[in-house]
Amino acid sequence: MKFLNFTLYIITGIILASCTSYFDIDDFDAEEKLVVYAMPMAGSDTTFIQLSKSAPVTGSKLPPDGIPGADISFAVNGRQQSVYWTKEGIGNVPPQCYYIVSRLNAGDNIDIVASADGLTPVRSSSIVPARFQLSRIVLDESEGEYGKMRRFRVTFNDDPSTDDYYGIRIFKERAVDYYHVDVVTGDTIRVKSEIYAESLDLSQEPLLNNKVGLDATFDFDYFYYENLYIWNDDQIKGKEYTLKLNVALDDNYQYDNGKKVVSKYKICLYRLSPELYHFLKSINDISNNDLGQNGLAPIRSHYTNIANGFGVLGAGNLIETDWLENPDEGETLTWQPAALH
Amino acid sequence: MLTLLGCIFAVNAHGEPGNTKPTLRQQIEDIRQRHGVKFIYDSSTRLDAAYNGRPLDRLSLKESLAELFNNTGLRWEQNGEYVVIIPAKKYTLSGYVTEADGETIINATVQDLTGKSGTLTNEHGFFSLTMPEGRHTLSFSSIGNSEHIEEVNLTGNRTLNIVLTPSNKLDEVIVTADLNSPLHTTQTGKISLTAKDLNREYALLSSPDVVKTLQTLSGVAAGTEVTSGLYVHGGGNDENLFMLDGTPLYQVNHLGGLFSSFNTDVIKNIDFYKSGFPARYGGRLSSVVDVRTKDGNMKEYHGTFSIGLIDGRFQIEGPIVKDRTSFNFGIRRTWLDIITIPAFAIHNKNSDDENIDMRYAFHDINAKITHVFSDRSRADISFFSGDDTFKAKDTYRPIGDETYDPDEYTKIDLRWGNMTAALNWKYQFSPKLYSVFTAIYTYNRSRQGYIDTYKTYDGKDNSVIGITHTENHSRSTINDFGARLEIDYRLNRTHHIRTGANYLMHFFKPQSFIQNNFAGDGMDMDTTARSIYHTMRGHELSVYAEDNIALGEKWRVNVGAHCTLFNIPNKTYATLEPRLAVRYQASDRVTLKASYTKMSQYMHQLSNSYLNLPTDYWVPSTAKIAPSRSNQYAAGVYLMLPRNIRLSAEGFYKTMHNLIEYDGGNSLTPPFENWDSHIRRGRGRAYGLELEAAYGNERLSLSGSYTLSWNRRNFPGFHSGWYPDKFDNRHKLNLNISYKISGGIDAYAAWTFHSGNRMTVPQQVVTAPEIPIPGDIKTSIHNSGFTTWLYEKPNNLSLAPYHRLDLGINFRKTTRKGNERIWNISVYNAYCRMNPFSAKIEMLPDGSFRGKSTAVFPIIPSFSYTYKF
Repeated sequence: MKFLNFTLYIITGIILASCTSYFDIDDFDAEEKLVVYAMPMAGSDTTFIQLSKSAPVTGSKLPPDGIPGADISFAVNGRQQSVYWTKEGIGNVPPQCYYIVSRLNAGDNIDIVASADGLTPVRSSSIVPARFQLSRIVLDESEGEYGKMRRFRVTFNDDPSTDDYYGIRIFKERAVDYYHVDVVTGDTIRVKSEIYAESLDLSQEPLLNNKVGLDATFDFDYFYYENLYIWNDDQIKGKEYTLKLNVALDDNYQYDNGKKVVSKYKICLYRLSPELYHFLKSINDISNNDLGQNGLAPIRSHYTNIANGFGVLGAGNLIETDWLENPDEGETLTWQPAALH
Repeated sequence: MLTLLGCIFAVNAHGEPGNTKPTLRQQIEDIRQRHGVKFIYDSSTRLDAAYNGRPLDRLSLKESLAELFNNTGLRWEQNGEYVVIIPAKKYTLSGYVTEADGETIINATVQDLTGKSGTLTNEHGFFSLTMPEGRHTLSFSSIGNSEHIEEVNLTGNRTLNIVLTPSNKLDEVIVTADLNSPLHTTQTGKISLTAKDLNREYALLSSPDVVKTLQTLSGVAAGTEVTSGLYVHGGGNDENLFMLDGTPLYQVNHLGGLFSSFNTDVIKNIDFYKSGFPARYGGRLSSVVDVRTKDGNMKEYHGTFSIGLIDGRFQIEGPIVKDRTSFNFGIRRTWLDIITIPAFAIHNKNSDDENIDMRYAFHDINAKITHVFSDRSRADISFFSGDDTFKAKDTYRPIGDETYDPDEYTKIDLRWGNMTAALNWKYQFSPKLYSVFTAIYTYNRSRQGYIDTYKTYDGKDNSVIGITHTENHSRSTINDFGARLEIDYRLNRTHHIRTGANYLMHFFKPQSFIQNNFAGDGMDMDTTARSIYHTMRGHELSVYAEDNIALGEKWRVNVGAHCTLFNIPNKTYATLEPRLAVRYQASDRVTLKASYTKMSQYMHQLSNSYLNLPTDYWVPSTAKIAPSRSNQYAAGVYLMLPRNIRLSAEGFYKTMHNLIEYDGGNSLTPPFENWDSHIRRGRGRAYGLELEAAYGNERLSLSGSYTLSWNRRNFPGFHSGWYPDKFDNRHKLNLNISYKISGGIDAYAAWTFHSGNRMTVPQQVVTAPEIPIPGDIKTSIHNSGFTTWLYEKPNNLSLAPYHRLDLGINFRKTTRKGNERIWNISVYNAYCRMNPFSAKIEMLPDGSFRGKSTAVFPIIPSFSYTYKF
């Protein structure tokens, strides 16, 4: 790989030899607008709504985390739901969010209208998609480029009559510290967690990894927002398909005193509304577009279905497994749908 | 515009002194009264044409009649007191116009000075002119050659081959009479370039370049700086039909677009169309670049040798059988690897643990053999190969210890290019009917390979204790086999008909990919392998017909249609593309033109960048992806002012439908697997106004062009609504000057200005969204407080205006043997304007934001030496 480094040195040299200048952005056409993120999920009894407002780059302030006192209407099949505000966060509702307690079902029609701070009111709607048709999940081992890996084989059925959008997150229970770098401010924040969403090795999964040519050679990274791996059914229309997803193998071990430490996994499977899929895809496409950031490739707009504002009202249907114990070396664990919530 | 309108009126007044000449009918009446004869003629006989001969009042009856009807297309017979007027017989003069060395001249003007009719030689140097029987004074001319006058007494069909001799004098008469000038052609948007034009332009790194010359024309955006992008009238870079001797080319760039694939030493003529496409062209939306190469000198051996900063060229031509068979051979190659190979050898010698070999090279080879069987029959076979190669190899073996001794071997291999071959047989069936039969073959490929093997050895017994091997190879190819028939039929003075058919069989292998990885301890190996192989066949049949019709002296219409059947698995597309161009010649010096063209495109280049990467590959339209279409309207006014000053203003409006763009994230190599699901489809709209002015005499040449244009896109999955294209350059201005300081020194300068290319930058900052998680996951992972950029509209920022000055000077010296040496010194971006290449928004410590742009290309001097023998 040294010669690749050599090539990178040359490119870096050219870039360093380049010169920079600054330009005025005062005449940018950017208006402050309401930002709404709401992803109501069937399978969850709580829906939170992040309500904020955008901060044009012509100004000099960052957007607020949330706007209390806003007027929010949240309706399921036309029936208004009570909307609450939490400053500190409740359960898995983040701080400075509104939330609704209501169990949703597939086919529910959700409407949202919000206004705050004298900004133009925003509205949107979405329909809760059908449930993820999971057949089974198998945990075993596979061979990766650098040795054995924990493999998750997720078998599911696609509905041939509809255009479907999916997502998967694999949570691991383990104490971890990591650093989050804010893309705007550049601030680095240390995050401590007992549970985190795994970054997946997709090298054996052609549905999510179709790198060929230079991409396969250089193995450029493609990050999925919040490690929620999304896909659509273009290539698997109406078929049963098995995802093959790997993570680093974390062998169980036993202390001398007999205490056994076993990692645990929880797999969350999402059926996404088209709006939520397109929103997440736009986030992924933009954040992974290094060429575009340097003016060498097109950059798309962020998708939004919030009229007069920005963000997404994108419904989903979430199913989850129990916490699955990491099988011992050489063992295989199979989970059937009956065991799923 | 007011200035232009003023010019139109002034020039019209200058060109039309007032028509006070008598008509034939008036002269007949004078003769009747003077000589007491009676005239008999068909009532449909046209006698309203002006009489341009000498006065008849002192001539006898027979002399008067002979003078009156000379070159009128009429003849007379006297029978007593009756004079019968009947149409004269017409005959056709046909042949070739050539240089002194036998090279046929494209777009030479052939004019009957007495009959006021004329024509152009076609792309094979052939002309055919039908005239009334009798004596004619003919003028043969082309830019760069002296005018040749020939007296011809036409008593039957006749073949006449004309040889023109070079002239440095830029005669206003020749320029005005040039039937290929915009003043006379029927089409809008046509520009012809000769080898002299290409070599007179500024050349980056002293290597003349076809595409970079075209980039300077109005209505053409150059794309990313220094690359050979060609974005014509708002079109994409894959929407240009490049044809080399009639054979379509797919890959026209070297070194990431730094150079185009055309060796200017072998080029004879380029016809470039940006609107008003004649019906004989089809298959691309935005432009046609019809490149014709030299046949080769039929009389003597001549050649050129040139060496520049990073490339060298060699060209030789001459007779194989004098005046019968000639050859022309040219090769261009980089010699960068001659530097890199010893440089790495020195590095390797001084390195204990690493050996690196890296080389890049490109080449173009053009070869052509032409044979003249007879005045009516000739044939040529041409071959082109253009290739880029990048190879790198790295062997790394650091000093290990007793337990661990690693060894890594890495190899990368990239190769891409074209190969084409064409066999042409040109046959003149009759003086009016010229035909070309062509068989063509095109091969386009892009290949990439990568191997990385990492081994560890036991330091004691040197046995392998670990091995990781990564290997992948990808390949994309197109093989086209085709045949073409072209008919050039000059029915009479009024109709010039071109018709023909073209068939191409495409063999696509858009993406073959093999991956083979294994890892283990040398004994127990784990292997992962993947292979993708796609192939498909396509058939493309097109027929066309066009008629260039002269409707009187002032009006000319080119009407035609291009019909295509495109067949790929499970789908056949049929298109009918009407083409129409109208010219109105208000006077000898003022012309108005308008055109409408519909174009279709069945081949698309999948690309995820503006970089002309070798891994971008071509795919056909499929059952899911309909062909792209465009409709373009253009109109213009063209003026020839006194003192050789040419002015023109041309406007265009173009709409594009079913445009496709790759939508596969940030991949450099778009995956072919299910590629038509990773496509976004949209529309385009471009319109603008182009102004051009040029002046030239034998020493000084000045030209300027200005474009005011808009270029918009609408891709619903990419952005809701219309947005500016990346190369929506509102203003573009090019000024060129070249001056012959003395017989041995000429200098040139070119100043380019255009509104900056567009960038997409975020306009707002928003909070980052949270993804819901199940309730029993007790986590503190929240994005509260995190922010992210919001991109609201593509290409929302126009970079600072781009401008640069290029300078060059040639020192020429002719040796005693008549050979010529040329030293060229060129400076790119002479005043080192650091033009912004990209931009982004950044946050300052005080919480405010600012824009930051980056520039890359400074002043670049270069040098070349050319020897012509």
